[in-house]
Amino acid sequence: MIEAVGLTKRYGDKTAVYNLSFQVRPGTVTGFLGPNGSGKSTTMRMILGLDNPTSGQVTIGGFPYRKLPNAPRQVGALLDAKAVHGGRAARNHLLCLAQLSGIPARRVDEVLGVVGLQDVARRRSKGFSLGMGQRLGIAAALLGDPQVLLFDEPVNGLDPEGILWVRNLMKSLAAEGRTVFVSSHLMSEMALTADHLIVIGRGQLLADMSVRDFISANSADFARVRTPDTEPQQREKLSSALTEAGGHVLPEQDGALRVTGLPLPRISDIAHASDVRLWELSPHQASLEEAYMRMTQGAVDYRSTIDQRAGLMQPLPPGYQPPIPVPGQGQPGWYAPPPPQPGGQPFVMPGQPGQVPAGPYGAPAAPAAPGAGGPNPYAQPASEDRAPAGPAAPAQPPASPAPAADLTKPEDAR
Amino acid sequence: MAMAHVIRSEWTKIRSVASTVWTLSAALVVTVALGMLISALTRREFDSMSPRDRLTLDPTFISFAGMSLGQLAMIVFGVLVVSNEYSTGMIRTSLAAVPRRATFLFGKITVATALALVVGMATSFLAFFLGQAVLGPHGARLGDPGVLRAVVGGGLYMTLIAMFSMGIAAMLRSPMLSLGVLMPFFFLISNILGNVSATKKIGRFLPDQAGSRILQVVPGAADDTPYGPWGGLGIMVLWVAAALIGGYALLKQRDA
Amino acid sequence: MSTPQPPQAPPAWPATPDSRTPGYTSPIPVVRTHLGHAIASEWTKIRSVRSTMWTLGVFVLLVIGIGLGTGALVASSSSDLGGESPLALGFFGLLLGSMCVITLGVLTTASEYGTGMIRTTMTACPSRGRVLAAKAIVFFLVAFVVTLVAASVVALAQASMLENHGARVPTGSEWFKGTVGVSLFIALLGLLSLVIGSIVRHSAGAITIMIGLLLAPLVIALFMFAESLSKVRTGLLEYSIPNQLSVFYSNSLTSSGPTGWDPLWIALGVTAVAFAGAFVLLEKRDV
Repeated sequence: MIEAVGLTKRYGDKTAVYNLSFQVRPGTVTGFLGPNGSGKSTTMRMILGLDNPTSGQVTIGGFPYRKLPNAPRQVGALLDAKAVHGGRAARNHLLCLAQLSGIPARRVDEVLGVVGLQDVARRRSKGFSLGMGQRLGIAAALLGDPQVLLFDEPVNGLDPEGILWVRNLMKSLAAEGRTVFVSSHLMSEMALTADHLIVIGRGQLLADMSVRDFISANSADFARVRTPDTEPQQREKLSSALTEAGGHVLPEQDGALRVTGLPLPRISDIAHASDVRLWELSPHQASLEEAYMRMTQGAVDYRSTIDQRAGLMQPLPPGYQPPIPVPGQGQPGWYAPPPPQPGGQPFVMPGQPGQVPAGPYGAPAAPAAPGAGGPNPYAQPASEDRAPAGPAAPAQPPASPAPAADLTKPEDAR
Repeated sequence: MAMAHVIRSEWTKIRSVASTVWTLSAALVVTVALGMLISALTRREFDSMSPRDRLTLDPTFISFAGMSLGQLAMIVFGVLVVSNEYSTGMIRTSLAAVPRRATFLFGKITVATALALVVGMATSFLAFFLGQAVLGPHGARLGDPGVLRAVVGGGLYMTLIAMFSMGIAAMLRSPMLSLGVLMPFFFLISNILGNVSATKKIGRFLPDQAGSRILQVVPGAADDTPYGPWGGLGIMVLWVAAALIGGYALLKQRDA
Repeated sequence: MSTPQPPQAPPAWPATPDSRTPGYTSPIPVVRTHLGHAIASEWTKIRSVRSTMWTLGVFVLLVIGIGLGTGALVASSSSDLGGESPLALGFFGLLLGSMCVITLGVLTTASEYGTGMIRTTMTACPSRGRVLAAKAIVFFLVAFVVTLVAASVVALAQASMLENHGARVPTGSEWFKGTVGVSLFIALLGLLSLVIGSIVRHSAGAITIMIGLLLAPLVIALFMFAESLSKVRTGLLEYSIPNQLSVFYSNSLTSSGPTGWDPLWIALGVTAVAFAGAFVLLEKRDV
């Protein structure tokens, strides 16, 4: 049982974690999610007493970590697989940790077996691969057979077999009644491993709920509707009809419409009533990844921008077509179909009022349509030439581009 | 890859690590402050000196008193510039970007040397002027014979010390090992060999003993060194060249 | 070897377990840890890295090599020691060797910061002071024993080599100072390096500081030519570390200054103050 109350950490004038309160319960795997730099590692370090909170406190079983009697027997942690002396053999590394907490030496050989490093136990960890280092870190966490386990990015660098092993390990540890707290970037992994999620962004709590609730609260199941490309006016007509019927319509980059708030049969009926033919009417269900991406949209510190190679390009030889940009690169909100209803966004970013609610209509949601190259200046001249060839290019309806362009800018500009 | 690109990239590397700022500013501050301290002490005591002491007083050399300790920081700078690549694993990234190792090593050394030269010269001139200001009436002027040579030589000396350390670090790769070899070498072995009469003849051909000859304007009474100021610096340059060539030879043939 | 997570009874935990129930109890008995555990751990650490072997190996080589070398040099030359104690010849080797002890001392603490190991250590033992104390004890004992062995070997060899070269037979207290005394002093010097390493947290930086400390007084004194500066100059020389070391061989460079066991008390005082500072910083700072 880990309990944080009003946890705050400042480094100089940068606030890494602000007023974080949560509980991690035994018997379940609790996932700890957040974009890079959102304060996950800082929080883990504070849980382990490595960093002192600026204010607030975090306790394990009722005690601050540094007050726990024989802490390593109650809490095991994998913080950073590289936090070992590379010149020391794996077994000696674990042995010195075991001795520090009065654990019998044969336990070292046990955990080496558990993580599958028994054959390299006497090799210096300097020569270990990323995955082997990760296993050594997991071995160190398991050493004290503790009831609380913290893992920071445990599957980093592991091969698929290793990932499966970690997943099952986490589950079995939790099934034994232990508290398991795992941070990860891999959403698909979290969806399979975790039962409960704690999500932070910019050092603040965004969500604390079960995985199932998280997905349903944040997913925007939507319908993708495509009208004939050749008749843009049909698209307009359907849009207004759907909006009238209470649906929320969002144009996609490739000309399709993203409709929320209306069941599929109803959409079909409306189209039929307004005499619009449909080329596509498909349901789309959000994954944990999409739900997560949408939630943390406003909370990402390090956002990639499109690799524009600005000013570094040689003049294009005539007839040369620049490579088609991969959709999604550097486009905020690429994953995240924004929640249609204003009330549908349960977590408004503190300190970012308006940011997330504004997102819905700003996200130039660009699904896997190859022609979607709007923001890349180098793609534009060429794609104009090619436009007729691609099914998507001409379909920007007159009304939609403006908000799309406007609203992405502030996010990029940050 | 052109040398200019490597140099630009090395410049970015070198100015973006804290150790550069620390070591170079320590070299400057220690040299200048210690020189001023010794100068102040000398001035206070000048009147009570014996006439012989007054005659052989070398105000320029006195203002460089801190250099013997300040070069410690220069050594650390030279060692860290090169060996940081190894201790952080950056060397693999660097050599992947610049596969021609000669270009890489000499680009790095050029940049670090240029920086060391600027800081060394600044240190030398600052130590001289502030030292002379403190010495007041007993001080030397830049126009006096041999003084400008000594001051410029001081900057060159510090630069060469840093370069020598870079060469050694390129050979040894580990910062600890390099410092463990260089520091005892410069501070104990060289001093012992250079001052014990039996080994003095060999000792004065060591890089720091030979190179520091250029700092003196008024030679000591019993001076029988077989080389002049520039000759001494030349001996030091040979040492530096040997260290750099050794470093390059090893870098070229071994795995990164 | 049993696996650490033996297949236990299927988990009977409710969907929302009571937060008060301890979830899991390890079958491995929990002991109350104390300094002894930390010492055992630090002993494993210090003996399991190569830098220990290297620094101590070079140290022993320097002390014994230079010691025997000077001994043989004096013995082969016709020079007469003129009633000097033969033990004094061990000084040069120890002075040079002290660099190795300094390096090992710094690495004992600072390398944990360099590698990130410190986070693992401090997670496994949240009482940070205990870790520092254990490091200090283990390092001090290792450095003391190794120095004692090396210094004793050199002292014995020199005494027997120079018996017929006008050296007088050292008294019992000279023997004691020339072996145990210097070893305590060198080990304290290493301990001070260890403490500086813990404060600075950077190996190269800490070694530079220690070497500067070792040499600065000598270098500064070197430039004080003037007669009237002699007071400052002799003071610097007397209290410089090399001269303090030579006091144990009762051949100090100057006639005044520390005598007898003074250097040991000075080193002890300085190290104690630095240790207290390191302790406070360790408790206060983030790892």
